[in-house]
Amino acid sequence: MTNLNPEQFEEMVAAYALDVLEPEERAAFEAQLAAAPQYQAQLSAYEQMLASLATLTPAVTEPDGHSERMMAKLNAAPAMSPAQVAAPAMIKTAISVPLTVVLPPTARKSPQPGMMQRIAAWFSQPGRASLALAGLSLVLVIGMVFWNLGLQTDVARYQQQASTTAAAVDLLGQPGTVVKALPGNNTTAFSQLIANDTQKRGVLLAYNLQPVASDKTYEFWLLDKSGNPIPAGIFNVDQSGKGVLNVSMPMDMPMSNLSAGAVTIEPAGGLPKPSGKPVVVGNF
Amino acid sequence: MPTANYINLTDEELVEVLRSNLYEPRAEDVSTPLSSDSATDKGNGSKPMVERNSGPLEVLYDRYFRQCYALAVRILSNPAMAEEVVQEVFLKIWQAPQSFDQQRGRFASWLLSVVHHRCIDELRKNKRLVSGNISLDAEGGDDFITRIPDEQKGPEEVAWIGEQRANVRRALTKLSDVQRRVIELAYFGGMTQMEIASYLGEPLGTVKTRIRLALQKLRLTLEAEGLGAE
Repeated sequence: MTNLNPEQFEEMVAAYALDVLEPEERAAFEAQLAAAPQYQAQLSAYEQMLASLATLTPAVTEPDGHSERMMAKLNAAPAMSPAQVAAPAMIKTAISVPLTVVLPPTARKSPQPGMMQRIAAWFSQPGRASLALAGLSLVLVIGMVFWNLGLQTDVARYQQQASTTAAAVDLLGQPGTVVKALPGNNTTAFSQLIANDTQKRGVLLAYNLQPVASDKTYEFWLLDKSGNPIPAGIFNVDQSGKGVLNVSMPMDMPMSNLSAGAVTIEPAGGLPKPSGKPVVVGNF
Repeated sequence: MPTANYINLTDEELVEVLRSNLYEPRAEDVSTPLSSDSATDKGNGSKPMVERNSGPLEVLYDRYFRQCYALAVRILSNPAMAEEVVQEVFLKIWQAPQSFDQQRGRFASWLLSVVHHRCIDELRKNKRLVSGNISLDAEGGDDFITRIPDEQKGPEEVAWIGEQRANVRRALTKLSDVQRRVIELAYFGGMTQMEIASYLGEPLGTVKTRIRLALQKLRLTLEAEGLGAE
């Protein structure tokens, strides 16, 4: 298998996840995949999505005695050495919280009695309980106001994302729609441009991009055949690194005159010319 | 079967317990098969190197055997082979729980994905594609994946499975009939893209494009609903 361009890679990742490659294609692609960590996130996303198809199977009756047969197999499994089952220290630390659920009560730590006694003594002073209650109420009201404002912003952003994603789904069903891949440079960041030249519509989907500070934004650029960047819209990503953008496709230029797409980080509001390095980039 | 200590743990926590082996077996767990195995020293007089409690695996098995088995039966059309494949997957999890990487998503998705791949391997190894095709057709393969009722299973079903089923069914309605058909032939029929092209009598390039667009559309729709990749 020759080296794949980003678009071919994207196609192969989908086919690989669905397990529709021939054995020799599969082996060759696995070798390329191992050298392209930026596509691992893509592969995981497809695998998780495909797993949801498994839930569509018709209900079946469980075979009698299957649990006992499973237990017999576990019994027959060879014992494992400590080296085989011991977890790295990092993993052990990570599970320390959930493990408190199964540990005996004696193994759990109690709060320090000294601190509790000091708190109780402070509240026992005349008037201090009312003062604390008033302060707490004020904090709660202020917190609720900020929470509400944040919620409204989130709702607006999600509504816009949902609308743009719906546009992308619609575009994928239109004849002449092309999908261009824009991988990150040795990172898991990844973008896809879904564009329809006839309709002059495009949607950019971004994955695994780092959220940026409030005075920054992501800006998408289309490059003409001479390499001149054309600003095509700004967007931000959510905490999971996902972002969507309704792309401003150049009205006077067919897709065949575009050579590449790229995303950079720019000051909030965007710039007419890129000033940052490309986060993702792909040749068309 | 499963010890009550584990029932409230999430799938991912159960796998962590399995892989870390931090849990010390309690007295009431000594009667579990693996613990009794340890007690008898496998009859050879030597102590096993590490005592492990099978409780976490039993909980996972109870939660997901039914769904995994249904998937395997659907693909393999052979209940005995389906049980064998599913139990083999759980045995692998017992022996190598570190093969699940939490960074790559939810345990249930990973498990179903592993079972699916194992079934396809088995199907291809036994060259049972022909009977697989017949099975698809016999069940009205043209659109069976959108006709499975939402509420087909008992209350013991893991909530995530029911949610996924309802959402993926909705997402599939966004695909065209031909896009749904190729996904069905690939996912449940175990066909490669060349086999699908031959089966449908269409150019390979057309089938490849159809698969890619169908998967992208499905993924977008599910992600828009907050499902799919997590």
